[in-house]
Amino acid sequence: MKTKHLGRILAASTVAALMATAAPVAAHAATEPSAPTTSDAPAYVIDAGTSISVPAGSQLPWDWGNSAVLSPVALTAAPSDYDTIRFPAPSADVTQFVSFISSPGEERTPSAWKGWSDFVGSDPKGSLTPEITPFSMVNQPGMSGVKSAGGTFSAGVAYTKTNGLVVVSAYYTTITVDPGGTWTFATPSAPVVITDVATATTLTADPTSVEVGAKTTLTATVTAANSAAVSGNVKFYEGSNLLGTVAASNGVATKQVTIGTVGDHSYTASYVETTVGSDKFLASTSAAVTVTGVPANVTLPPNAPSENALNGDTAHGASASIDGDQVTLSVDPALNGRTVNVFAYSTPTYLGQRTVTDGKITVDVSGLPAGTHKLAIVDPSTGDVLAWAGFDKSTAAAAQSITKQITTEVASNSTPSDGEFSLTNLSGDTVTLDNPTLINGESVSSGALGAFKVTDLRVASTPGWTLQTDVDDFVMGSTTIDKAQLGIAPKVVDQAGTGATAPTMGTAQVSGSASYPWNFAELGAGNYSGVTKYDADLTFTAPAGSAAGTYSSTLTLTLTSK
Amino acid sequence: MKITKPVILGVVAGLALSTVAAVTPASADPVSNSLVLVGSDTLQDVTNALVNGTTVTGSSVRSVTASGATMGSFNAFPTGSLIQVKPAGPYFTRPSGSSSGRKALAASILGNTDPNGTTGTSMTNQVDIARSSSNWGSNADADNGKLLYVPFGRDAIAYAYRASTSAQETVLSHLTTAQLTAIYSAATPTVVSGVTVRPVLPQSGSGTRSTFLSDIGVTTVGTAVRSDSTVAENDATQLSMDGEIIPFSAASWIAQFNGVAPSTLTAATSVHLGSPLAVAAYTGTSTLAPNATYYADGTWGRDTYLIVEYDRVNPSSAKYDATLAAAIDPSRTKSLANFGTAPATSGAVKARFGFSTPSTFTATRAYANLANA
Repeated sequence: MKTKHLGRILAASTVAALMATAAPVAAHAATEPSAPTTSDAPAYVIDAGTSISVPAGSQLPWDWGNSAVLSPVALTAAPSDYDTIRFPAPSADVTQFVSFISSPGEERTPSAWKGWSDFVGSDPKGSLTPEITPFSMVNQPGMSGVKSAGGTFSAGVAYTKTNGLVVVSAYYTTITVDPGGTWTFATPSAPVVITDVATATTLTADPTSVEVGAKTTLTATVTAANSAAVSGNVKFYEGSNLLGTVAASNGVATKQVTIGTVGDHSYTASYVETTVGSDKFLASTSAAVTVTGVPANVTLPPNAPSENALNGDTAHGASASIDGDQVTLSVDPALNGRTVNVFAYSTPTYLGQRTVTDGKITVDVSGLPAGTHKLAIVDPSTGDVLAWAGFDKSTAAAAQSITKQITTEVASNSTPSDGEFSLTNLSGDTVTLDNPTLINGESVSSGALGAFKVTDLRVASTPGWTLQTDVDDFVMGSTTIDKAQLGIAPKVVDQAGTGATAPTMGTAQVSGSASYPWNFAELGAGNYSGVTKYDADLTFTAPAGSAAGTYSSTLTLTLTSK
Repeated sequence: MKITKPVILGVVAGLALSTVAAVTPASADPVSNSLVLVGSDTLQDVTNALVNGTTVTGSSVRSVTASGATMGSFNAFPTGSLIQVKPAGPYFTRPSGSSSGRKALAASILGNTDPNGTTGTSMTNQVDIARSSSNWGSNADADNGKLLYVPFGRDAIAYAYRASTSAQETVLSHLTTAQLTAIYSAATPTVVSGVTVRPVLPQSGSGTRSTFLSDIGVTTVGTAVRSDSTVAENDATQLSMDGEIIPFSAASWIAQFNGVAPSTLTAATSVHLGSPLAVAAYTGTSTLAPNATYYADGTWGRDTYLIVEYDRVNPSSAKYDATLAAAIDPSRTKSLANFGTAPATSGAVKARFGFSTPSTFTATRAYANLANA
């Protein structure tokens, strides 16, 4: 054989060698255009033989033998399932697919196309690797002009109906043709590839042993398999009950939980799947953490000496003065540094422990009724009266809200005396009624008031009390919703105290017809209630036509001694 | 070897006809506005599909010339009919089989009259490519061959038989090479295990016929064999009675069964594909595929070819024709000679038609004297 140069020809022993020659050759350098924004989906140019993307900027011959076909995704390897690179299945009325080359903007106007392929019957799975190599357009009324003059064109596949007259959808890219036919093509920018990232959630509680009514802090820590900082939400659960959703900061979310009952409480935290940039952080749930609720440390007041142990109007040189609710008892400076129990009489009432300083102690007597009283300090160990004096309280004790820590020991053979009388909030200061649902055109939201505690250990005087509730109207800007729309159903969470009497609960107030002020609970004279924990279910119904938004109000609980 | 950029020809004027070729087998016999293929019936269905366009792979594949012109592939039958292959060209006798196609190509090169009939028509430049299911025999000539046999794909020869009872089927499904030799050499129908076997051969120009006879070593066909010029190859309806057997292309059987080529199987009665080897020629039940073991057999497997004039694809020759060279360039994904596997390639189409890759990709020159072709 004497051939000097062999082009794309076949001669004895040449066919195999030719099979490896497919590199596009640049005759000119057509400018790579930018991808069209009007295609129904991005279209990538791939090599029909290898089924991988043709490198961006490649200069291709007009009759490129490898053939340029389109794929909706860029390909670095031949797909194992070619159905995954079909262009989306068209609507049912599409009857034919056809490849085309047109001027930009005329992709959906078949009568203006420069050239097109065979129309082929549509496949419900969509078009697979439609060819756009210019020479392959067997119908080519305008192709000779495209080749000779060059320019910018669209090349793609159209889904048509009505015998090819109507284009239903079109997928194409932009090509730039040099005069003579060499061409290049646009490559759509790669879409963000979302990658699944596994996460792990751990949960800790501190403390893990908590008095009923006190709080523990749950801390969830979410880590990602790729070590990226995790954001998103963590849901805290007790068993299967959702306690709340907290945004994670750098993978950490915390929630304070009030322990309501004695016994073990099992908590878990679940991270909610969240996509951040290219990371799709997958959901994960922590192992359960147990927090043990232990009985609240309710200490009984010490027994008081009999009033008979006091003699005369003063004792041991003591004197009392009153300033508002504050009574100061001045005593012998020899008692400085002594820790003493303080009692008021005639009804023995324990007012707490004090340490004598500068020859005096001061106590709050707001819990005492108006009238003449005696104030005594008693040795906690022996029950001996160390000093006492009388004073006058001119006005009744006002409603109050106090918490006191009481530590005592009990002296034998003594008369019971009054203990603490207080109102304690066990939950947050703010209640949010959210996630409204529409019922019969009205927005209904609900929630819990949050736990609080009434302590009435006035075992001797047993005056009784009332717990009054008042509610302001709900306000958003200048818009007001009447407080009658807030319903309250009171409930007792826990009732403790030997010999104590359970208070009488108020009748639930119905949303829409509620009336305030209203007594949440009441205790008649002759009883003491011990330690009672309350909560309440709140329901708020916005009347039809109310403006959407967040309305605010203030609910005030006032505990008053009878 | 230096590979140069292909020459770009001017755009051929005129509009090609759009051909819708979605799921129905391609039809043949348009008037071609470029290259013309004639010859073997074995290859006609797949070449029809390629030049007319097909979606059997899921992707739309059509072999067109480098200038976008469509080609024409002409069926082998009906024998003796006249065809016009190029615009305003003469009518000549339809080449019915591999050797008829080769003769028509040679006459087209030489400017001779129609070799397959008595029309006296000059064949000058009417045929560009001859489909051949048989090779060059003893005519290879690496230095002076005027024709070039370009590998197209690998077929296998088996035989079809007609049996309406399981007893017949048991015997006829597996006749050994030695039995076939005896059957096709005998003067009267051979009885095998109580079953009378009646041999049939396609018409004398059939490549399937000549390959089969070569495979079983028969040079003189026995008088028990029924054969005449009307017996088409790869046509199951030619079996007219139980016990008849006929050489059959395994690829054609697979293509017909798979519905990608016009099927003669559905119209035929009680026909099956037998195997002279220990394994069947195909695999599968609902969709058939070539059995690689059978196709690889040195006797029964066979490469098939597209024959072209060597000078027209030799760039050193004054007769060099870049369009024809591109049409049989296997590196072009949609050329007639491609062996690719991706859905958008001609090779994938061939696989659907029962053709596996040929045993060699090397083209062979043959017939130093075209008058002998």
